[in-house]
Amino acid sequence: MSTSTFVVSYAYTVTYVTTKMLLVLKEIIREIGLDPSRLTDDFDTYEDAVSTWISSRHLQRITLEVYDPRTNGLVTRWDIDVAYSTVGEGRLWVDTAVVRYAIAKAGVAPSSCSYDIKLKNAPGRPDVPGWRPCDSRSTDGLRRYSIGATVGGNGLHAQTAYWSR
Amino acid sequence: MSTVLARRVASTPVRTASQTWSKITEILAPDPASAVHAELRKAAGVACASISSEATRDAAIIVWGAGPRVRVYCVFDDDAITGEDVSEDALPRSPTDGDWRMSIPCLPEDVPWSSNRLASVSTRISARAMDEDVEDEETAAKAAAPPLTVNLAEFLKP
Repeated sequence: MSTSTFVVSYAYTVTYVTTKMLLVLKEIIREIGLDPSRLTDDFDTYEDAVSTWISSRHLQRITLEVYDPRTNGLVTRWDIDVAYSTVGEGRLWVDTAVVRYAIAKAGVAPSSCSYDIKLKNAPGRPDVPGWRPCDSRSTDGLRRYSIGATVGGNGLHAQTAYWSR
Repeated sequence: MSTVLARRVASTPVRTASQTWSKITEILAPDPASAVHAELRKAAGVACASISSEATRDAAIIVWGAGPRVRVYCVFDDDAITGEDVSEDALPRSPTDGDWRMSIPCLPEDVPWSSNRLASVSTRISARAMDEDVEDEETAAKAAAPPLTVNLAEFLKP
């Protein structure tokens, strides 16, 4: 766990939380046995969207959908939910160990799986080039397990959860 | 003795990972229209993964070849905000002129996929575990040189 104890502006908090949410996402993809390159190759695109929509307080969730390409059916799903508050203690932190612990319990995905990364926003979000509306795969038959907060900052927190059978 | 230059680039929370890599690219390959600049852009994904994990806090991105050896670290947290130890000045000479190589430090778990990804986009840029270093030319030359032995019979002849 990395912890910093200094007072920061909201702009710095947005930068930190954006980068660390994508770090957590990369850790999840790698630990469940898939190649993070599809995320990291477009890291700047994801940074632009996540930071824009956290700044405007529209971003509600980053979702990693792991699916079977033969059926397009969901195999597992990871959610990183954003929570906004009006007060914050100014401390910035990230905890990737809790993700590794959860995956050790949940297990890895079959190597034949592929994945999509989707961002869920509140209505009225500003446009970011390259992003368009999409649908989520059905979670029927899956159950949601929360593993708690993984990234925190000055009035911003990210809670991580996964879906499994 | 070879020359080593170091730069320390401010990262989170001042810059995102990709903004940090853009700044590092600007220092190492100032001409945005150059082939080197384009090659460094292709390594952005692995570099951003390294920077976001803070592997570059204590382990340097190392560039070596015809020019001076350059070690680039990233500065995080309050030091990035205050500018403590940050040094982002232009280099006196580009380390990517002529033949050059680059090594990016990664979390040990990230080395396999990072190495595969870099191999597909560059023959000059590689990944290493953050607790490993890159030998300089002198150390490598010493390691490669045959050991010296004394011919005692000849040495003891009157």
